[in-house]
Amino acid sequence: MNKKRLTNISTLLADYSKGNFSKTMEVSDELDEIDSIIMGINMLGEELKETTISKNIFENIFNSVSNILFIVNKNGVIVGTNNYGKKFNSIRINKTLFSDICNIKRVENAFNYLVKHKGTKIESELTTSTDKKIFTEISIVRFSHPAKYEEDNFLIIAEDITEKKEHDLQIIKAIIKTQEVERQRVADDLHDSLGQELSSIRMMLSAINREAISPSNIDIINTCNSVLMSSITELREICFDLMPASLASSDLLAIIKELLSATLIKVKYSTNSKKLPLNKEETLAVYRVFQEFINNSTKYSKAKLLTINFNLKGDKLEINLSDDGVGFNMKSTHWKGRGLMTMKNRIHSINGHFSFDSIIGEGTHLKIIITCKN
Amino acid sequence: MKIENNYIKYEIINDILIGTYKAKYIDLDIAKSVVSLRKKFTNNLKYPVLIKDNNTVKIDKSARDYFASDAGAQGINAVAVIANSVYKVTLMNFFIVVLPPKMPVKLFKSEEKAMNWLEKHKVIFHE
Repeated sequence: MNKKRLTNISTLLADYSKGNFSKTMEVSDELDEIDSIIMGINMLGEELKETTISKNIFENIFNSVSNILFIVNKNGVIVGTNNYGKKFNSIRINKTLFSDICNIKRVENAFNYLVKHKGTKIESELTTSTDKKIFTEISIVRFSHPAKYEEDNFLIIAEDITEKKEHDLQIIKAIIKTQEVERQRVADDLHDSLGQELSSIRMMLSAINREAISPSNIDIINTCNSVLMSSITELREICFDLMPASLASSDLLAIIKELLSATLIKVKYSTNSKKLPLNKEETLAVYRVFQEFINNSTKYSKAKLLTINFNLKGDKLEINLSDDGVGFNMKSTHWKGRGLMTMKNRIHSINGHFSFDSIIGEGTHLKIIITCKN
Repeated sequence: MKIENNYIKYEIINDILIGTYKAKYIDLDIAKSVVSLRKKFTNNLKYPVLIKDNNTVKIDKSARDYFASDAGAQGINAVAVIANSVYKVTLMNFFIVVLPPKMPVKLFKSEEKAMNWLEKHKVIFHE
């Protein structure tokens, strides 16, 4: 009898090992030692069944959400990910550091930064094994799942915002294109109408027979002529600012030189290439950024020196632009009004990289990296 | 002072509540009925409790969870269980280890020793 019960116990344990927790064994009326073991195993089966159901529910939710989920231990090592996260097939569970696949701008260690900023959504880039970048908004929470992981971990939730970023970029591009078309139209109108009229007036003034006019009226005519000349020059500058004629050539260096010739700040200029392989759209974007930066340096920073460097390496063009002005506090909000977002959007619209830094008393620095298409 | 239903009999002796189970199998409905009767009998006041049983063979998972919950444990400040067989010791130990109770719980073979231990947990004044 006992031998049969012991055999049944071993069969029941084998079933539990296979995850079949629904089976139980009846206890005898004796309620002896073997019955107490059977009852213990039955209760263990009930507990395991519930734990397994909880685990399965968790796994289903974990794998069906549309966000990328990472479970990361306190050392920043990825110990788990959901189906969406498995596209990062470079990840080796229990080996890969989260910071190795995640990049947050200006941050050295993405994991440590996230832990310090729990509860905040932070924009970042995740890199897949094929070096594809996925733009995400990530946040971190403490995470405990005793049935699956021995220690308390962190759950990192990453929302893929690549499409949203692309949509935003298309809007920015459309706005910039509209602005440029409008600038071109205004510049053409000024040049063709007001410019032509001013030139006509100048010709008419020069055609006046000065001998028939009293000396005091000649003085008035001379003053008119001088004011007219100044207006024509100013009109040309306005037209240049709106849309330099040289932009048609896409020669960024020539246009920048033309722009710099009008500034009173000393310029230190260097380049490792006489011709930059930029298309018209890229040239225009960089030119507008220079225009904005130089305008700010002149108006606000009291800069005495502008340092400009173009460094072309393969198809990568790195442009560094800095002034030695008063600088400003990047944490204050008013600096955003100084056209920084416009500059950033311009460079992002040509898929370039833009970084900007300013230190009070030391000046302001701007760096652009463009992958040239030409 | 006594009260009983199909599953349990309660009596209060010397400010200790004594519960004697009649049910062989305890499921969630029986567990709720047992707790409800206790609360009614004690008028929701706290007592140390002595648990005795003659027949109980099985307490299923849902019943165990209910006994261990706040609702199931409300009104009890200590539990002494008479477990005078290996079977009952195993049953109670499993319960105590898997679902740690919120109040002191101890197993005894002798009812006298259990009552002495519960004496220390008596509520002197019921508010």
